[in-house]
Amino acid sequence: MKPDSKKPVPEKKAWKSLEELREDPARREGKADEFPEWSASRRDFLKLMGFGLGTVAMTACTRSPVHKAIPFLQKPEELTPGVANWYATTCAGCSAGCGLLVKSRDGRPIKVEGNPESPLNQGGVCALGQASLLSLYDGARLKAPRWEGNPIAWDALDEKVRVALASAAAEGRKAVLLTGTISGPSTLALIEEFLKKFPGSSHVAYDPVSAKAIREANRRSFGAAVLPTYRFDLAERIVGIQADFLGSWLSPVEFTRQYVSRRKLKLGVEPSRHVQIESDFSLTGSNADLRLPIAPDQTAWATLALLEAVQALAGGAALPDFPKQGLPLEKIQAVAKDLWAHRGKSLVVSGSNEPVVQAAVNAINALLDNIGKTVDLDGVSRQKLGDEAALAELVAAMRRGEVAALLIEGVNPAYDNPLAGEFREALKKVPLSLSFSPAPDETAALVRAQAPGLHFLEAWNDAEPRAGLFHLTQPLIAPLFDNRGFQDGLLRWLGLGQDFYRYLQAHWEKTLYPRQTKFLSFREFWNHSLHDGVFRLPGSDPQAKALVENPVEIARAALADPRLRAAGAEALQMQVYESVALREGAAANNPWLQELPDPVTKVTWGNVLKIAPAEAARRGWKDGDVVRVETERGNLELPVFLQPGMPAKTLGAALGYGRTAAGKVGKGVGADAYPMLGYADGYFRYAIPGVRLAATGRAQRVATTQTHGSMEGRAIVRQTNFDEYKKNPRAGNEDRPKLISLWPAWKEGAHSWGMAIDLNACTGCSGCLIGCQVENNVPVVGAEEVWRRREMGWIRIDRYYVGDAENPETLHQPMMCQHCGNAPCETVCPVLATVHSSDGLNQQVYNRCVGTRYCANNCPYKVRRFNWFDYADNPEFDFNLNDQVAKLALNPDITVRSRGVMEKCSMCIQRIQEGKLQAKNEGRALKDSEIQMACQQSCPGKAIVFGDLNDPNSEISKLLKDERYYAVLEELNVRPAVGYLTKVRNKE
Amino acid sequence: MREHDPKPKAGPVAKLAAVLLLIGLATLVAWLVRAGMKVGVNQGYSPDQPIAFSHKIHVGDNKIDCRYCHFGAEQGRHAGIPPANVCLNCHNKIKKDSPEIQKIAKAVAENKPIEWVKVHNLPDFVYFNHSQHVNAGVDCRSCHGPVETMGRMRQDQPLTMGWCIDCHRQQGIAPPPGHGQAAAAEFLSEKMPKAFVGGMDCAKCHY
Repeated sequence: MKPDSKKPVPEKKAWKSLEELREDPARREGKADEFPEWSASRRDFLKLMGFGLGTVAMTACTRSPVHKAIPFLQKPEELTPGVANWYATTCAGCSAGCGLLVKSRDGRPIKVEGNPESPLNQGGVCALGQASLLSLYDGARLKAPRWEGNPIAWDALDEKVRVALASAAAEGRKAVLLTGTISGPSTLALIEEFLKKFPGSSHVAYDPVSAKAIREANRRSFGAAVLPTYRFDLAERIVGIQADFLGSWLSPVEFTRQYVSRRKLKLGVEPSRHVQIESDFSLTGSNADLRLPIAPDQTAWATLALLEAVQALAGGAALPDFPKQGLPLEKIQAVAKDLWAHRGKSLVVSGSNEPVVQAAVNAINALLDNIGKTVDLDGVSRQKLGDEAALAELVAAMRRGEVAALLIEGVNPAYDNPLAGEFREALKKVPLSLSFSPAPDETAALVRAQAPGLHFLEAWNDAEPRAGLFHLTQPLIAPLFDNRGFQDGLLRWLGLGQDFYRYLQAHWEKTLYPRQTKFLSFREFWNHSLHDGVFRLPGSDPQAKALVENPVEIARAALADPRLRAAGAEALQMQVYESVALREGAAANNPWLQELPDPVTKVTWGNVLKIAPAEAARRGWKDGDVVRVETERGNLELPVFLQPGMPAKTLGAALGYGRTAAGKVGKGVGADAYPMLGYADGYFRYAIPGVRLAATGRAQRVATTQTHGSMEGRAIVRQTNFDEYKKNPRAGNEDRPKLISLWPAWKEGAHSWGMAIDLNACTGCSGCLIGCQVENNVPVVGAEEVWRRREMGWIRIDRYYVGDAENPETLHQPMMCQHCGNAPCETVCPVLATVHSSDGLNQQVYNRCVGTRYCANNCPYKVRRFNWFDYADNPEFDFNLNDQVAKLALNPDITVRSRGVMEKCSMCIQRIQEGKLQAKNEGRALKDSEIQMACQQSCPGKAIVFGDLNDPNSEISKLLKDERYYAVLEELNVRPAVGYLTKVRNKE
Repeated sequence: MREHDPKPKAGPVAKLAAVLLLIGLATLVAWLVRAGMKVGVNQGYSPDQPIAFSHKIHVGDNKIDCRYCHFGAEQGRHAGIPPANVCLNCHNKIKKDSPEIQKIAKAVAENKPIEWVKVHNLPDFVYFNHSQHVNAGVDCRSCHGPVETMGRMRQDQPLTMGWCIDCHRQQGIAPPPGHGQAAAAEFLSEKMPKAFVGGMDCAKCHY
């Protein structure tokens, strides 16, 4: 077809290019050829036909490629090709030390799950723990020892270190072992020996996000400098003050499990009531029944206000007057009354690293009779034992040239603390600096010797996350590279000729075996402990403890502290926090975690500056505008993110980003907030006063997975309050449509799978997202593609806000393919690539899919994800699937999808098939809850239930009859197999 | 209708030639379609192996059970090629001096695994599990053919999806022999129609 050139050109026309606008003659000529007519001659036609026939004929002659089958020469007894083995071990993703079960296929670990035997996490595991698998296969890992940047043999390195240590000891200079929290008794015993052998040496441990103030306050209040264990499961009233205990604080999986066990509705039991007083909008705050936003400098005063109110109820002496302006006093007093009414069954926790704030919290808990009940000072936590003052002293000693040797394990002191700048300078004065880091980091880049250690899935170790609770760590795979565990290094330098495995075993035989009575031989005890991954010493019941410090004295101490003085309502402040995905930042090179949306902001790939929308509007800023944060300690540039619920003059920024040496994925993502942190009087401080903001005029794309937070008036997440629920269990869930259908009901097969998600038990922690990603080979797409809304996650957690933007209520809703009975996607697929199975699942057949995307268009839940590109072996997507080592983490039972194919939640069909097969092979019927979805398994709160609707006694069938059960957009009559249980808050 | 410009009539030879040409073309097309359908189908594939192992001697003559060597068949997805130590269970006594058997001993001595050529290759993107078929009492020969007669292993069946599906259409799911006590009785008591257990669902094999 030729365009008609005689047609008049309209005055105002749309233009596609500058040439067109200028009416470039060259372009006009080209235009005539835009649709050239193609006239094929008979000969051309025959030629093409012949070519086509020839190609087909030749294809038919090709031979399939030759595949080799290479069996073992000597098969290990426990290993059958294609059959997975599971081993118990201990997570080292953070210092919480959760028990793990790791799936190993043909000798390589491919999935991390929680160990149900561990009393801490009881089967659940967080996003960070599950993603730690990929850190094992990180192609960027350090692969061999190096001395001053050059490769060196281990023996030669050992010799150099031995000489350096010996000469340091002879000269009376210090040798220091710098670590994070180490709770493992065997490693601690080894360090003890090491220190004895080298006089003048010392062990310094610190935590980037410190809990030192809690221990110090407990020393002052109760005479014991310990970190207590908390019992959220026994608390009917919970107050969190600046503590993100569901997301990142101390032991989030354990706390989530406990918290949720009190939030799930049981017959006749009131769920706990949770009040969160905080500056940042945290995951924990998003779950609270009442959230009181305060500025960071109000933390001490808000805590004192609560103490004052409780003290008044207890009839104690009045506190001296303290600044109360701007505090929600009435609400705090109401909270105090509620706590008082639940004495002994309440819990107040604070994440502040101010000892005086923690002392006030201790006083509140003591007055409320919680000590020995919900606060256990006997079975203490050993999850954070670091002391940042020791790090500061070390840096000073390094600067004075007193440190001859510095051995660094498990921390990244050149990055992960506010003293990093001083540390980097001081490190130049240390003759022998050595890093055990298994992956590149800022510290390993500066040290003289790199002695790369092992990933925990390659290593033997133990942990004692709580006094008397021991976890064993066993290797799932031989070291992938020429690396060596740091304990093995110490053993070598000590001149002990054994490896750490023997040392560990000997230590257990010496110290733990005699303390048990169950097993008659050590062998039996060891095998049993190794199998379970857990060994517990019988503990005694926690005891109440008398408060040493008087609340009045605490208030006086707070008033006397110049740093606690309120900065005034107009001053800008910043609260720096650990993100749920990256926490302290060690796993920054993990693409799964980088692409994991923050549970509240839904931001991926980097940190942002959270700011109240009103404040941003006042300054004329919108999402993505890059601003400079100016503080006393330095400047930071971050894109602005408008976060409802932030206090008016408070900013929030996450730690763990802005790594400068981490590998290709993590390097330079986001900005580093550590230098902003304060260090004074022996404590890291995470609240930053005196912040100024300056616009830079630049803007940055912020890759969020959810840009729309409204339900548009539809009851997608249903919620009610407990008092309503007591009156009517159907409260909030009244309008369930009556469904009629023109079609006969779907004929059910042997099973009819269904899922129910208890919105009371889901905190939004996002562990399920990583669980699904690992299990189903879901690719990472990168910030740019996330920004284009092309992320591939099969499960997402929708976050909705209800109420005013100043302090909204937040709702979390996991959303995946709803496996509709009348699936709208199935009817529009022209090639039958998505069809219904006999057991009620909506199946996606990749081989049939031609990528019309009609199905995604027709899906009311928007859960179908399209492969816009090949994400595997594609240098454009230089993440784990473009890394030969990282590809070892792929699940071999699952297809890696290619470009142009639609995909979505398959309801872990491979797990269903595996479960059915196992039952069949054992000649029995399937048991209820025998098959677990990946998301369900990892859930710390056990919010997800999956099962067979055909079995009237299954848990899922019972939940379907629950008054709270509903399906999203039920009125569309698509009959989803996935349903939800109304969220019941417990507001006053 | 009247023909205004009648063409000269074709002679009988030309007619015959045209018919033959048409038949020839149709045959060619039919052949091409058949050939096209067989792309990737290797029925009859019987490659040379690094060791001249004979199933005829082991299975046919000496009546060794398949599962003695292919022990994985009952446990998991792969029947598996026996590890060298299984071969040597017998062959450290029997026919030790045969040059073929010495290859095995040599592989073990040199710690160099034997690289067999895989004969039965399923199409890509399909999950198949031996154990559920073997434990359900499916005879190995239904898929692998008369192995006991094969001097050199040969792919006997087409191993296409159509071939899988044909069998699943015909076979009900019977209780596996030796199983089916107590709990199984209810579930597996009678021959269930295959649709009922979902044997035809796409996602039974494709995920």
